[in-house]
Amino acid sequence: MTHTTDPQPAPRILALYPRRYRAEHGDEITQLYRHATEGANPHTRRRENCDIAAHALRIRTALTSHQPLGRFTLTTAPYALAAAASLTASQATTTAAEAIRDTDTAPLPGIGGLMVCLATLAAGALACTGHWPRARALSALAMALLAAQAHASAWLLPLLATVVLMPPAAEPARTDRRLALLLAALTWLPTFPIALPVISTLGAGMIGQLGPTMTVLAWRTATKARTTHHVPAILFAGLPWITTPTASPIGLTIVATALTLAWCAGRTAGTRWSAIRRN
Amino acid sequence: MVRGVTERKKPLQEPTLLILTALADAPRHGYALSQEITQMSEGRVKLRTGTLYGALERLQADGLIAVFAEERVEGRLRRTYTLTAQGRQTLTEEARRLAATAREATRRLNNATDSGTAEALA
Repeated sequence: MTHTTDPQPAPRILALYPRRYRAEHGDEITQLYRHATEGANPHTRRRENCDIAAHALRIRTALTSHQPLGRFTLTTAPYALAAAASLTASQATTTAAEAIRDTDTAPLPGIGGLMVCLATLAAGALACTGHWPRARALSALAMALLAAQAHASAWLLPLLATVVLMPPAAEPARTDRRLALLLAALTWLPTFPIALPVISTLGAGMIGQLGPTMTVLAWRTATKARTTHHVPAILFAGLPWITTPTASPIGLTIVATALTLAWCAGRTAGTRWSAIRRN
Repeated sequence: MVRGVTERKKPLQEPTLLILTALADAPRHGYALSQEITQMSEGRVKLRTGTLYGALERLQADGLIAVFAEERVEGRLRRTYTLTAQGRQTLTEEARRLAATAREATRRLNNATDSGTAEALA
């Protein structure tokens, strides 16, 4: 069979795709690109190029919605954003409390930190209402603002990156959104007794650090007992809190046991609820 | 994205719904799909190359669409996509759900007009 050759070379942007992927799908993407940019203005052409570049990078990094890493970011995004919002809100609460307590000596809250906090909280609020593209854009803004922050939590960057790298045209499940909100509330609330020293130890102990992750893990397991893909997502988002007690082997054993018990409790409750619903 | 049985019952997202709808009556290739989607959504949804290609891959991985034919056009390979049985069933269920919601909305709007609520609020 003789093939006529295409006189036009493939667009250079296709070089961003891995060689094997380009060999398999390059022709089809080229055709789509040509049709989309035929007679188009430079702005449309630029947007098409950006869209193809983003897709190519997702293919290279296995971050598409049908690949394991892409699916992981999709499940993790609500919890990661909740954890990031909680971390920035806790920092803002503590700074504000210090400023109120010692008006003369306490340093003024930095504008940069406040901007990161506001961007992350706004991203969280938008995610709660299902506006994930805007939440992603604000998370990217918060990441950019973080670059100028010297005292920000080291966990913020990976947590926000999970939201930014989530595959487009796909949304996390509503169940995860609600439980992410619970995680944010449970991890942020202990800040108050610490910031306003009413009971200085409340929330600072191991229960305060493990409790929120255990609660959300058990609840999510109970509601969706058949799958386990939410477990790494919740553990990833809970890392800023659960890693603190794992410095010693005993602490690590306690954390592992507590989280396993939470998962088992959720699984048992889920199985019982299913049985009750069936009857 | 591979989803569980319970999650499949969630309403489809608009791009997914439009892609499945565009394939409901006949197999189509990528560009024809993009044109159909823009036309069906009255210009509101315009899927760009990378996004459309990513969505097609996702739907193939989910088993909702499949490659119907591959042909050479001007020396380049062109794939035509079609709905699978699972995709057809998913679209049917979604269409039924949307139709039920639209019917109910129309009924309530008519009731409001009959009882004079609309005029009272105007």
